[in-house]
This record gives sequence, C-alpha cells and structure tokens, in this order.
Amino acid sequence: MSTTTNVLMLIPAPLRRYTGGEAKVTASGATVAELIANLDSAYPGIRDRIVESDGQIRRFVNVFVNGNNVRKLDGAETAIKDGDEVGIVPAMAGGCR
Amino acid sequence: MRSLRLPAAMRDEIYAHGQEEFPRECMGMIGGIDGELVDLYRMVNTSQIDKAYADDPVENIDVGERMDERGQTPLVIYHSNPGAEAYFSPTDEQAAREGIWGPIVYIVASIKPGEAPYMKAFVIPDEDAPVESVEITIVS
Repeated sequence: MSTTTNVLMLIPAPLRRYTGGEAKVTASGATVAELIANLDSAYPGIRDRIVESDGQIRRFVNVFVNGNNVRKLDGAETAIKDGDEVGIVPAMAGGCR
Repeated sequence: MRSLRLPAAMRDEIYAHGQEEFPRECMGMIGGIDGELVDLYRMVNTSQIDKAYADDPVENIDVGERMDERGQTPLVIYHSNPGAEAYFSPTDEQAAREGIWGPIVYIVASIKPGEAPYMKAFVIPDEDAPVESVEITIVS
C-alpha cells in the first residue's frame, strides 16, 4: 500500500496533551487507520483515545476528512490522499436517564 | 471539593437556554483561559430522543475553532435536565467515560416549570476515578 504524505491533522483541545500543545500536526498514511497508527508513533497514547482496540473509531469520537464524517464513508478504512485535512472531533452526549 | 467560579451572566444564560429549549435538553460549552470562564457557546441538541443530548459535530468543530482563535480551552460542558433534578445520570457518566474530554467540568441544570432552576457541577478527575461534585461559586 502506498504511503500518503502531507496530511494535515487537526487535534482537538483535549488531545493536545499528547501533541505537546500542537493543534495541527502532519501525518502520513493511506487510510484513516494508518494515519492514526502513524500519529501514535509520533505521539504515543493518542491512538487509544481515537479508536477502540479493534481499530474502529470510538463511539464518542468523530473523524472528518475534508469536512466529511468518515462514519458516512468507510470508517477507519476511509482512503486518504495527499493534501487531505483530517479532523478529530470529540463528541458531546448525555441525558437524564 | 474542587470549585468552579461561574460568572452570574453565564449561570443566567444556561437557565435561559434550558427554559427556551424546554421540554428538550439544552447543551453548550464554556471556554476559558487559565481556568477562568470567558465565553459561553450555545450549541444545538441533535438528539432524536427526549431526555438526552448530542452535539452536531460540524458545530462542535466550529466552536473549537472559535475557542482556538480566542486562545480559550474548553472548560465546561453544560446541559439541562428538563422536568428533573440536577444530577449526573448513568448516561452522562457513561458518555463522559467513553468520551475523550478528560477532566472537563459538567454543569447540569434542573429546569422545571414553576420552580426555580438550579444547577450542579461534576468532574471525573482521572479515567478510573469516581465522579466528583464540583462546588459552583457565582461571581459577578
């Protein structure tokens, strides 16, 4: 599988403790899953905050590629191309039950 | 007990938001700098079911960008319990534990018709720690 480079990743505030405070980092990978794995090599621990142990994106996390939620695409297997912008977004939810 | 200094205007804004959305839950965030609460961001509740709240991730991104532009970090997530007491429900706790907000403060406001609203605040200080109450101090 070819490796994609120059993907800009937008890191939400709660995960910036892993990136030394950086809100934007670059990563490489041909899919969202690869990107996140490579991100974890640079910033250990961040992967587990984004995906489950089986590689699926966590229930209360959304991942956007160029403004499109990957849940509506191919999830963690969504393909990435050079120049894409990938955002990690923590979800907010709850209820009184 | 941990404490939160909440400006009176933000307290009133949360109550107003909860009353406007009644009988649905309202939701939003407060961004701050160095632990001081600066701006309140109302958000749209997209939950398809009553007695629950869920964000619109696109709006969530927008709010995050606005906080970044202002040098703020998210310090509070608030929501209302319409027709119910202010408490951190099992649903709230599960979402908080499965979510990735870390030790953010959750404000829950009780909104009941004909009764004075009130609020409580909670935090999960560490991943494996129990839910703790946070003392709210209203400041001008």
